[in-house]
Amino acid sequence: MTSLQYKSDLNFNRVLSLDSVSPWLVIKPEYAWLAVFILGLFFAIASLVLSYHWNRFMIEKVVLAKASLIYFLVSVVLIVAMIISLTIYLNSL
Amino acid sequence: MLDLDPSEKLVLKVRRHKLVLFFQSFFLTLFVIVPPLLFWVSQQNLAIRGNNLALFASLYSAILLIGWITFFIIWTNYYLDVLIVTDKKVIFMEQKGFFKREIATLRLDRIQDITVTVTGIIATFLDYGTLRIQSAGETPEFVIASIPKPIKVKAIIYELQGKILSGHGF
Repeated sequence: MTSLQYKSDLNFNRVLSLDSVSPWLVIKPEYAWLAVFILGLFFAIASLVLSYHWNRFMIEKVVLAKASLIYFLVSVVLIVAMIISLTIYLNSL
Repeated sequence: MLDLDPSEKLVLKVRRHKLVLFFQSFFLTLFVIVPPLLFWVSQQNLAIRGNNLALFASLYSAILLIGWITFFIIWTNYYLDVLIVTDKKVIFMEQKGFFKREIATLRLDRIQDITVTVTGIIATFLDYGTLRIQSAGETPEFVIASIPKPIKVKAIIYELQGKILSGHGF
């Protein structure tokens, strides 16, 4: 009894694995710092607009002070964490 | 800024229910949950040169920063929508996006009718709903959605209106 068998050369597991697409993903330092600069610019513009609205339209001064403090404190922590970890990564290349 | 007459007294300040803020900003949980999952998947499928944990920390901080800014934009939009009731008038300030703000004022003696609508199970249990204030004349009605304790707000407005009308000898 014979059976027709088709054996494909295409290994789907290999195609689905990103190993075959990019075995070594390299991030160029100049692009990384450009991304940080763009994010910093976005943060600066957003902060400027938010501060304007808080100062102009907020009724409760205590809430305004608390919101500004929390917003800027957490943002600075995140920006510092981003820059430090990016520096560590780029130095490890 | 709120400009009141020197003789005017602020009685009540109401914002939309906090659940509105929760629903509007709920998608931001994705900013917290998805990147670590993607990192875990990528560690098994991608070979990244260098300290990949530092790279992840950097990307995660950037994503969290975007999420943090977005949350504050949503919060500001929520916080600047406010209904103010004084002993003379009702003021509703609504922030529609960052560069459009509407301020509607209605004198208490001009109010003709106040309707409260509470729709749905959540709104019923958490006691929030829509307040519609109709005035005499051609002024369009005030519609303030999702405010907490709308029946209480309605009662306060009617009480203040009653004082004004009795003072006028109506």
